[in-house]
Amino acid sequence: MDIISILFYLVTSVVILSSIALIAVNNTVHAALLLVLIFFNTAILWLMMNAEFLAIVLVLVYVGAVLVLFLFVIMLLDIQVQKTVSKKLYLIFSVVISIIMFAELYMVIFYHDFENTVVENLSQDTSNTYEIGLLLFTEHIFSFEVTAFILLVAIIAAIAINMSDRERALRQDPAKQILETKKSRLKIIKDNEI
Amino acid sequence: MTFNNAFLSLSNFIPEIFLFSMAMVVLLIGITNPLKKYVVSLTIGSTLIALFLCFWGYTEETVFMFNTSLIKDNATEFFKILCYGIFLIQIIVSQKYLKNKNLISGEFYSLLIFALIGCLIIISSNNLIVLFLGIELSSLSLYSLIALNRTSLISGEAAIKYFVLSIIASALILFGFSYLYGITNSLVINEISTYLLSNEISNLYLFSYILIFIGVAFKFAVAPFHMWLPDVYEGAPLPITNFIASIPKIAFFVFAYRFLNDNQILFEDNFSKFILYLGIFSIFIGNMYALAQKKIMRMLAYSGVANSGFIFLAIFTSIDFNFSVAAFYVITYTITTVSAISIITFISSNKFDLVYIKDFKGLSSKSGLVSILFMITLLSTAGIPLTIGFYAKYLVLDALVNQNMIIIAVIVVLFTVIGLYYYLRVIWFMFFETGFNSLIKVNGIYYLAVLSIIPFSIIAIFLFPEFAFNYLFSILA
Repeated sequence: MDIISILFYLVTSVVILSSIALIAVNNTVHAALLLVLIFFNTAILWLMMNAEFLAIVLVLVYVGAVLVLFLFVIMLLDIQVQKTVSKKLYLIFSVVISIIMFAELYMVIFYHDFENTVVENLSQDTSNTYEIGLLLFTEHIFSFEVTAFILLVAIIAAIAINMSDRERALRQDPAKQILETKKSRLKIIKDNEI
Repeated sequence: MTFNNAFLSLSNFIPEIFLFSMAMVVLLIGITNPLKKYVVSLTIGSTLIALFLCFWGYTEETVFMFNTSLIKDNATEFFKILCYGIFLIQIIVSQKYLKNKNLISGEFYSLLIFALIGCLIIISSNNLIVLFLGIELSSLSLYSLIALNRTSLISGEAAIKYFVLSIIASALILFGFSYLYGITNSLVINEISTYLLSNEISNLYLFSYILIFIGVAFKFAVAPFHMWLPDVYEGAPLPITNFIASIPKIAFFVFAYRFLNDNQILFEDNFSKFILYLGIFSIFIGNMYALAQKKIMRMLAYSGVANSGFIFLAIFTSIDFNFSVAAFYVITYTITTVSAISIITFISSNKFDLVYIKDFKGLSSKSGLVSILFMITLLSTAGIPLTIGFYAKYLVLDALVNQNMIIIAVIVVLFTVIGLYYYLRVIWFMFFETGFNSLIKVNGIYYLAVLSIIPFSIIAIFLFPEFAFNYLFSILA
């Protein structure tokens, strides 16, 4: 085994173990930090495939921006760390199903002959960023534009859900409740008025 | 991409570009105070213009746009026009309901247009990335549209459920896509579906197709994956339910058609049996659960599950025919569902919401026309002669019998007969019982005219089914 494959197995095992830990831990801050670990190791995987642009973007965007936001949200929401109560039956079921799924995936993927698949290895001279930019703005220009619209929809939705008519949102206003009278709540409709 | 090529792509994509920009205009108009009240009419107007542009740009030949990202042929144009038509009916009918619920705003209509555009992109996509982005665009808009109704607790619940389960479906679809790309080395759907013509089928190819069709089954709400549907139908505002029940289903049918057309995988027993059993199980679950429902929307949801099962059966039978049987069924199902939910929206747009099935008691004494329209719609969903629902079900069963699947056809017919009970119960309530809630008002000649379009076309197409079927056969060939 050469140094590259040792590194590969090391990094992937860290990714897998921390993914399992991510869904198992109770503390949300720990979970977010484990996610940072996963992203860093995935970035190393990208680097090993000579995709340094993607590796840097992954670290900058996900670790730098998205996860910091996650931590902010966790801090602002002040989530109580609770022990999750799960039934043993669920655990047994999920473990059995996961093992079956894993066995299936193993059989299907590891016995597949990937010889037909061509993996283009980029030469050392070509600039990764240049190639991606070229593809993004010629061949995949439409996907690029649609992505912009998805982000726009996300912004519109987030603002609309949070800002639109706060008065109607489900929350209590004690002052209003005290000032309510019978007249303002009850209305008797007679048959001939309809 | 040369200049000429870019011009060709853009000129063939005018309706969607127009809708994109109108979505922004609607959003901006929604926040300016004096213009606020024109939001609805602007949406209707821009959809009409987009429909007109779609007709105007119609060409017979197949056009690839944006470097084979998108495809435009007879089938995509037909389904797009259908989507525009359904969307128009939905927004026209739902005006009064939304006004009562205080939901009319620029954001609402702009997100609705975005959801429509997402579905149009799914219909015309010829590239895995574009396809996935289309799915995300439409579903992201729909989650937030459900969540916009903040006065209702069940709306929030429905939004969360729809969000989580839909994300799982999208993840499964993406997982399948990634393996397909690994095997075929291509992102173009045409090349992927014809890959088997020159290569041996491998287990991994089959596996990725199964993953993708589990995702599609999620979106169609076929039986083991139907859990989200009743809650979403019940919780979402009725116009949104109307959208979810119709336009994404057409889009996902075209998705399935693109992946399976000319594909040898349908001859593979493992895959075709998977589709078949999902279909049968769905018809069983849908009809059985619908019997026990007390709320009209939950009942329609389970009837939708049963109908999605029929769609999967129709897809299964496309081994011998082309996809025209399935297309006919999808169109029948979507227009009847749109009609049913539109009528319920119309009845509940005055003060009182129609929630329970027993609320239909004595509707005919209030308005004969509405109850007749609703009766035609329900009979079509149930598959009674004189409506196209009968013809669509007959085509599916005929195709099954042609493949020597007589036992399966008999089982399906038995379940459908059991299902008749819950449709007929509503009709019984409307015509033979009394005690209609006097708070419900049924009036508005303008709405009634729009509502009667679909039920009359249901009967009209039944009288000349060959014409419609032959047209579908020619465009899907």
